[in-house]
Amino acid sequence: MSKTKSVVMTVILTIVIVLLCLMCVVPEFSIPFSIGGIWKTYTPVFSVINYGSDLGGGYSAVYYPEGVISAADYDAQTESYEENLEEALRKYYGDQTTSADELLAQYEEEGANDKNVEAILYAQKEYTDIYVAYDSANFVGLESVSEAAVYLDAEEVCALDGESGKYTLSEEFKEDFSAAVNIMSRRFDKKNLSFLNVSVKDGCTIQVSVPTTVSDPDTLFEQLGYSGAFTLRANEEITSKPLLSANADHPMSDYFNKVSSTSSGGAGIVIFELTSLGREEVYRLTNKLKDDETDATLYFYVGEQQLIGLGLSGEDDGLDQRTLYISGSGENGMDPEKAENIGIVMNSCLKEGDMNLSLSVGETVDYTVGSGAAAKTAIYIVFGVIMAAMFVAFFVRYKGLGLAHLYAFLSYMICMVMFIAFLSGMVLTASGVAAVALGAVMMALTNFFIFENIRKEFATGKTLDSSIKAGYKRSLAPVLDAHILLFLLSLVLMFISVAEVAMFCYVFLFAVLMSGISTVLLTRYYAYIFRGLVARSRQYKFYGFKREVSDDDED
Amino acid sequence: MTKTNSFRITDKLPVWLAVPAVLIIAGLVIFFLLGFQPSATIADSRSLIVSHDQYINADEELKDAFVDVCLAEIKDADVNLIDYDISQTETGGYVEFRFAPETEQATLSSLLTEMLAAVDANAELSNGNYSGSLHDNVSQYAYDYIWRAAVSGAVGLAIAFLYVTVRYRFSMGVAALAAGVLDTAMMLALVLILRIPVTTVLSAAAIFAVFYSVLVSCVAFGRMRALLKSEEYADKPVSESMSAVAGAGVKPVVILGVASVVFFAALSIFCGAAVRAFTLPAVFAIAASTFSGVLLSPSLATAVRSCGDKMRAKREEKNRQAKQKEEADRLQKRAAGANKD
Repeated sequence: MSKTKSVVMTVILTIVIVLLCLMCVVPEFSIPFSIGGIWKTYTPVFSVINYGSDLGGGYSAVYYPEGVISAADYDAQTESYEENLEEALRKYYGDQTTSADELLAQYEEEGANDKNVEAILYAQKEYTDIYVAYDSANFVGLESVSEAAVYLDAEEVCALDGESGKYTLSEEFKEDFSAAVNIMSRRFDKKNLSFLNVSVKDGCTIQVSVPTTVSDPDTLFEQLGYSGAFTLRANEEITSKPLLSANADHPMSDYFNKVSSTSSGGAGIVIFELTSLGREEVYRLTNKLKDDETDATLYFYVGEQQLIGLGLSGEDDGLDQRTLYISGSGENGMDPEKAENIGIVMNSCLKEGDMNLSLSVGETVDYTVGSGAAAKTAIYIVFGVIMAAMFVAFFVRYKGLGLAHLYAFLSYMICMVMFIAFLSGMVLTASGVAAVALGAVMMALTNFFIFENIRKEFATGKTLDSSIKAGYKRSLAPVLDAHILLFLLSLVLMFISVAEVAMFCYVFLFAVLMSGISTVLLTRYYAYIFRGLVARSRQYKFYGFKREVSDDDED
Repeated sequence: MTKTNSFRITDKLPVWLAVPAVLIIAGLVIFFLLGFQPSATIADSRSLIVSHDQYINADEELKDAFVDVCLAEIKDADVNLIDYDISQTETGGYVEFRFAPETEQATLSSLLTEMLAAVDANAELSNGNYSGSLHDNVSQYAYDYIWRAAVSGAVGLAIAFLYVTVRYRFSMGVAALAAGVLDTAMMLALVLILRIPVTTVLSAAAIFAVFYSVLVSCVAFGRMRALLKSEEYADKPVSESMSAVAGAGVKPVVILGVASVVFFAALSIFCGAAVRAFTLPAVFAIAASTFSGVLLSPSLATAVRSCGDKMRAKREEKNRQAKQKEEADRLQKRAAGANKD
């Protein structure tokens, strides 16, 4: 390449790489003009990255079993009683100035009897009598704890301990709750999320944390928390008798092998795989439904929730199929996410049994990890320092080739940042950071060994051109083997594994790909361009090589 | 050219095998006695939730002030804070501070009182309603994740075995497979022995161990293969040649190991508990794989090859003897036939 061409290419490459680096790191700022009416603020690529729950945060929600309420709900209810009581007392005395406590004391002292006040006092007492503050550390109900996290319905979920005179969780509740925890863990496991934490909070509630990649956390938390028996019904009335439900002879798993989901053209489809017995039953039921009504629908329920309906209007006879594919349309349209949730819940009913405990899900909380910001800053600093040290080492030993390595390495890092920021489903977790780091080490070491091979070839007296060719040829087989094998492993394991492992494989897949491209193609190309910047006779010196001259030659 | 030192890596295979064996046995004993040391993020913990109803409308400064006030009280109380989450809800916001499960409930109770008093004393924060509660958390293990990770590891090793067998040699494939299993086991054993707190991320670190082991095998066997193809070893028996070039991969494997350890150790030291949960086991995996790549894998590959050679020689000898016997029988029969005539 001529010197002019080299200079032009070097300048262009430098500008592109510097611009891309700036795109990644320059902090957010307002653009004084709008671009296409959309871009009014410049956002750096780093801030577009989705961080996993360990470095960023996620969504969480608490499930409250029936008979368990949060302290906030308890406080809100008691506060509401107090407000109503104050209002009733003021109305009774026609006094707007005296405090509510004084009015109540006066009311009790006088032994007054107002219908409204008495009704509120009765309801208030009943409410506070029913619910006991719960302290899971001591596993007993406390009479009054200001820091109590939950309140329990004494009749529904508690048993009175004869010796201590305090409430404990009833054995029946404990059993049902333990089963519910297992079922919920398994249901969320099946979502294959990049992060998941299921924990028992305060001994009687379930807290679930999921990553920010979940598009609709409210729906997810709600749908995976459905409880009750899996039944088939003829209409939308929950009070109606189910057409098909588990009985003493046949659990529902005798009728259905598996429930799963798929998607087609953006619509979700729930797939029911029937057993021979199930096929017969469904045929019998649908045949009967068709006889009774032309536009009949077979509804699939879990507890009181109607999850999906199968319209039979297009059928002449009952359904006689091994597999049922059900997809919603129009108003009942079902996205793949919903179909997956329904599949998971129904399959869980078949495999793990019905969840007897009714759960109500609390507010969805958007949380960030307190130490996340410091961890992210530290990661960038560690990467920066190690990269700087590596560049210095390469420059000292290989000079011009070190420059080519610098450009190739920056290309690798920029591409990885872009992949992580813009690829669908990509989340940066601790394992993702490790994947990028391992890819970076691979890339740097591969270049090191290639450069060493070129140096060795050059030392044998070959010209620079043939040394480079021979050096790359010598290195190509092991470099390609390592990259191809690791690429294959990442690709296969990405589909087999779930959560952190899958995310590690997903990031590493691109890290290996970019490492291979950067070493085999980019470094060589950059080295070729930079060579043109110096005179041909000085090119080997530019690469930091030394021509060993024998004594005879010197003479 | 390979150095022909009197010390040959391949002669010490029992020693190289004893190292992982000791580590793995010690790890297994600890596993059955104590199990893994769960990290605070997945282990049981106690937590304090301090909520503020104006959080939703609060600017970042107010949020920071709220967190800082609480953190200052925790510092004064001298309790071991594991981490904290800042949460936003539709009706306000709260901060959940997590502590080790052995933290006294009374300590946390008085800390909460102090926190609420400190919020009350802060002019900026005292406008809203704030409250606090104490919680106990018991984490559930994601068994499905761990199971799937184990299956992934097994499939990964099978692919590596097939690839190395096809591209290199069968003996190298066996050695790569054995090294992958042993490296992962050694990493897990070190985590158990040193009582490193683990999260479910450990399953991803185990997959990292498989990947790194495969990478090291490629580097070590790549060097050996290149030398075995050279003229120097063209006429020598393969097992003998393999033994001679077993040390060829030492330099690249060690350089790779040192560079990786430096990078991952730096991430472990400076980047907090969440990153450390992955990178510290990864450092053990790198150390284990470097040991395997330098000493164990080449020795094992050579041993497998020698074993194969011996078996082949035995089979050939057997065949030769059978042929000789057959020939002798044939001659005997012919002689007997001639005598008859």
